[in-house]
Amino acid sequence: MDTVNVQDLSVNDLAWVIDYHADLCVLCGACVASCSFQAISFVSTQKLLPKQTAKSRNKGNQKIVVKQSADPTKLCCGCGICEKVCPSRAIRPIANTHSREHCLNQSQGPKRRGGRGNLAKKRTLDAIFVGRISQMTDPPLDAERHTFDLRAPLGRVLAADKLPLEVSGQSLRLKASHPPVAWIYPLIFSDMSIGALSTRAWEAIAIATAYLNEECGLPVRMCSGEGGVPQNLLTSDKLAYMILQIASGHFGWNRILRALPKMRTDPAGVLIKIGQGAKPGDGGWLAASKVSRHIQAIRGVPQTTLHSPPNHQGLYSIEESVQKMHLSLNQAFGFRVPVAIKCAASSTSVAVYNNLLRDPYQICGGFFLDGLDGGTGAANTVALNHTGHPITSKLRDCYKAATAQGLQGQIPLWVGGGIGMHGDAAADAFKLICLGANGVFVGRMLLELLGCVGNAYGRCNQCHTGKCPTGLCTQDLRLVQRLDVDRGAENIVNFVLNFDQELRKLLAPVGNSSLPVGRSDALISNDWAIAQSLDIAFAC
Amino acid sequence: MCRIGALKSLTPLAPKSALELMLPQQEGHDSSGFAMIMQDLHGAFAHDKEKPLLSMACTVRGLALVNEYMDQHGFAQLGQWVPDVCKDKKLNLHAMPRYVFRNYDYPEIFHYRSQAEREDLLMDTRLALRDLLHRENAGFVYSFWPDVLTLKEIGDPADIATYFGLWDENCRLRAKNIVVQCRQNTNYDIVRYAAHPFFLQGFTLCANGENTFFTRNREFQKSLYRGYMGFESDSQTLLYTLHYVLRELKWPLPYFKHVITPLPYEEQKTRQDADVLLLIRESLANLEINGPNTMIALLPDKTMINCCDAKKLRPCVIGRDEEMVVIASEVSGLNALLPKRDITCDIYPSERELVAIDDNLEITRWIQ
Amino acid sequence: MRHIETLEGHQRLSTQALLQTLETAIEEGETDFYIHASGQHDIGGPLWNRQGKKLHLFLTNPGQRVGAMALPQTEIVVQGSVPADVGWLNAGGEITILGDAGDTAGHCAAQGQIYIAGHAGARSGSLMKKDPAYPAPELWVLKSVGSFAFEFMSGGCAIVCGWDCEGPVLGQRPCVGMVEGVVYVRGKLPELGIDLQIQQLTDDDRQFLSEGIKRFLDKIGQVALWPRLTDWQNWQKIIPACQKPAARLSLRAYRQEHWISQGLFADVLPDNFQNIGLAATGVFRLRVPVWENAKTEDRNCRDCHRCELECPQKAIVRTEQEDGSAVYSALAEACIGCGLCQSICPQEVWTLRDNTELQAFSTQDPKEPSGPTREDV
Repeated sequence: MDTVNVQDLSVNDLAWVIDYHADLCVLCGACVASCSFQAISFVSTQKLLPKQTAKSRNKGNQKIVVKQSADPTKLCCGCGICEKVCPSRAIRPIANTHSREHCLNQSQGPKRRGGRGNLAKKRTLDAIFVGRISQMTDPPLDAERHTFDLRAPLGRVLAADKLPLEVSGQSLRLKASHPPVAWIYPLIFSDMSIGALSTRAWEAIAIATAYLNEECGLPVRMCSGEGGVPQNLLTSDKLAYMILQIASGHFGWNRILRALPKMRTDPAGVLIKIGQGAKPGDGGWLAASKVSRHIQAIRGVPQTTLHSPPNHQGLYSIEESVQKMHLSLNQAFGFRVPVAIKCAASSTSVAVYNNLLRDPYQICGGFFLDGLDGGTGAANTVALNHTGHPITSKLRDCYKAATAQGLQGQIPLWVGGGIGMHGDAAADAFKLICLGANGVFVGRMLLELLGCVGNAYGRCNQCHTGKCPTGLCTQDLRLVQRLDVDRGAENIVNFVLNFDQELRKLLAPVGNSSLPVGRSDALISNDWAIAQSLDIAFAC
Repeated sequence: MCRIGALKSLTPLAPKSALELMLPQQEGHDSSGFAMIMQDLHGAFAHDKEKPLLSMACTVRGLALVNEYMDQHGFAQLGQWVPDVCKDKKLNLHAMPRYVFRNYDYPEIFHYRSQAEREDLLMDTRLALRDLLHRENAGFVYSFWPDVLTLKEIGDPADIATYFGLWDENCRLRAKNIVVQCRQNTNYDIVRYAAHPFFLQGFTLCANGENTFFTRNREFQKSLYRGYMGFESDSQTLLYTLHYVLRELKWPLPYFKHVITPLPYEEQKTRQDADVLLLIRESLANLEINGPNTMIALLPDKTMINCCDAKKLRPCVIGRDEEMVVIASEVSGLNALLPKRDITCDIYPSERELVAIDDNLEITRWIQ
Repeated sequence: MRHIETLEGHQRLSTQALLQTLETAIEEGETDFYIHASGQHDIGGPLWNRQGKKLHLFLTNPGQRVGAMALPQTEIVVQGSVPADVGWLNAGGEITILGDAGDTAGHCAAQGQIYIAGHAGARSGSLMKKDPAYPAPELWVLKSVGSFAFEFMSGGCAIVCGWDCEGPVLGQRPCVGMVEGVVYVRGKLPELGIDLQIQQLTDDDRQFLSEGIKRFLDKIGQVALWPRLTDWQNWQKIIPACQKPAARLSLRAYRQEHWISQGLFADVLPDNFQNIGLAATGVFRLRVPVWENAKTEDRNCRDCHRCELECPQKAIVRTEQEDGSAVYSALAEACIGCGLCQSICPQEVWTLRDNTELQAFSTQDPKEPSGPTREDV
């Protein structure tokens, strides 16, 4: 017998253990064939024995079973694809409460992964309720039948006394140009790049966006992420639904610029990404293995690991970013397209927002704040689990800072990071809007709608490996082909239509037909500290 | 729901008319108060119409404080009206020890100052007096403006009227414009400052209903203008919005309606002036109301206006004869005051409508 | 006939006192009343005479809810206009208003008739309903109704005659949520929701209206209007459509018909948009079994057919060579790459390798877009 050392890995050391029932298994092979991590394989029981013993045995006793690998390069991540394909419920992964996983694989450097922060969290939003119900003086509305006016601004809103209006008789007339403001649906599909996402996943989101605009009358916008934008989109009318993102890597932007003369319509906006809630202060990278030929083609890069540094190299300060970056991108689209900026929520967000609010050139069209419950395609686990700032109080602080100066609403506040992670995206959105947000953005949620099986309890989250079993976060065409674009897009469309209904269901009881931005009087909290911090009523 | 009403007449009216207007609407209020603002005064204040008139209720000590302040700041008292109050103990009201209705001459140096500077002086003086009385818990100051008188008290409107002698046909308070409210207080403490009509620099407004965007309105208005303060009632914000749109922004009147009840976006887009409407909605989103309200306002040029919330959740009707135009929450008020009017001329403003009555009683109906 | 005054100077009889006076008088057998009201609420119902005699009430200046909850055998006539809620929850009374009615006239009326000689306010006729055991309620309006009229109407019949109207006959968004009943309108209709339909009058409708209008005009003393109001070509009726909104286009159809032709990535990564199962075959297999007969002692195929027999996909083919030896291979279109062949082979002839076929899948270099420029469009 081979010697087994105490340091040798066994399956029970791992985070996920395959629960396999040989008696139920029909040996169809589907689980083994579909596991993109090679975490399981067929093994002959005979081969499990030393060779000599096996040869001497009766071949009729040979039995084939599925066996989990303890090879650190082939770890089961709990994705459950084996369970999905198994016709006889013979196999499934189980989270191993006795895992030693954090001690393993130390030779590979610090751990990385995708997904959301995994530490158990009590969310502020779950301790807040819509507690001011209209019943008498201010009657509730009927969510099904009354009209609602659910639009949010993206763009630089001017103070009323700064509007370029002149009185002409009993009317007001425009006498000069003004910054562009788009009134869009208060839900933006957040920035996930081509590269981080597969072409199909990205296209499914783009199709859902266009469909919601054209077939459902909901002006939902999608942000491209920074991974290049396909030429077919840049030269299409559908570009009008897309907010183009520029991050520190500036990937694909030379191609976007070269397409400018060919564009038939302006994009919906530009979003300057400074930071990301899931891994604030940490840059992004796309491993060379994921930089396949089409990624090279779209981004205009050779096959190499692509780094988005944590910082924009040319920006020295907030003022600088406003002046230089906003000005450049406003200029690129003839000052016709709103340009906004996205930062990870941080203890310093209020200072940043205050600086933006001064915006002397009226070129900052939105402040996107991303909280720590956001997702990512690849991050250092330590960043994902331990850095970041909850979104709720930070949003509130920013809104109140603007209010203190009478500047609320001038630079729209959009927030994201964990919206809908507990299943009630509309409730999350509604509460955040009451606390001062103009709208919300969702990213990870869209992947879940497309079929992502990852979660905040450590399931899968292998977005960084290129082995995404659902074909969402990989460029491996064998896996990408698994994704049904139409079904995925349909699921996103259905989600938004339900979100819309649910938002009305929340607006109706407070008696409002337009978004109650800053209507903190509609909220209560059953947590004293939260109520104090957010300046809302405490109730118990 | 409070009951509100207003009268605009070619000939000066005594408060009795306003009381008769409100009496049949009594089921609509809980006798928690009565308030009225009169403008274009006759009777006791037929003279010195251009001199600011101070309306307040205070303690004896409060009166001394105010006298001292006014002396120190160079205001010289001119005429006054002292109500001959009825001290019947059975009357249901919370009377204050002193009521002051008197006009003053401007301080010497303000005789040579601009109109705008005088208007600032009057508001700042009122705010200073308010602060003074509040700190000493010594009373309430309601208005300080030429040709405008405010009377408010907590209690049963009929008893308040008896107390001040307002049922008297020959009452020396007379005006061509009266805006009046009998109050049902639902949400807030019964505080004199919370009783509308409210007044600011020539603008009078009263509104019933519930402004569900009060918090947004207030948070925005607090930093817009120093006169936007108090916020004891959710309908105060409507006065400030009116003041802001007309006096500060100097926009034409119909835009007040566009600001408080903007058209739905989809509809705005189809309008010829979509660009202007969208800009206004963007910039003044925080002044939208979004709850049930009917409001009556009186402008510095004595134009009286009426409009409602976008869902038409509060009633209102306007009726007239040759001599006067009357607005009331309920038609019962009109029937009492103008029983012989031509009812086919009654106007029930729709949720999209703003009705303006000028000083010659010409009525303009403007549809949003 | 009993006269009741409610004002003496500025002393006003409260609603409670007035209604108790009225009830007492009816209990004493009085059936005819003339009431000079001053805004008192709820005058007119529910009242009844013990002998079943008809009650007649003639009112001036009542407050809200005239004829609210009125019972059959109650006839109310109001001289002039009334505020909100006239005929609220009418249970069979006949209410005539010789003037305008305020908001929510006829709200929740379940039986009886309400005749309004002028205009009726916002949300009039909302939630009118029909009790199958009794005749349906009727709400007659000579002029127009305000916005949001007939919301959630679930029965009964409303008639808006559009007489002498400068503005719209129905305000904005009428009949929202209407599920039963009918609204007859003379004049131009606003835009209606998809759950409603507009129909022309049938003979039955014309007969009902013809008789009804005569009765209505008689009640309000306007019989001279008869010929003008019965000019049928200006009449239409609104009823609930009971039809579901058209199904949405499928995302597949949208992609094929309205999306960018060939997809977003056609220039760099052509996509047929087909998808495969998790256990895929052919080029999409994650791994492929390769038969590597090394012909060494350890790895020499003994032609035992085991792989061929056990392959769950029946993908393994045995081909006999001229020299009688066998060659095994896995059919790409059937094999899913599960590796069972490898594990079962006693001689370890099968090897499972990563499937790299698609890595060679060609990507074209993206071209400059060749479409027309913005200026051309």
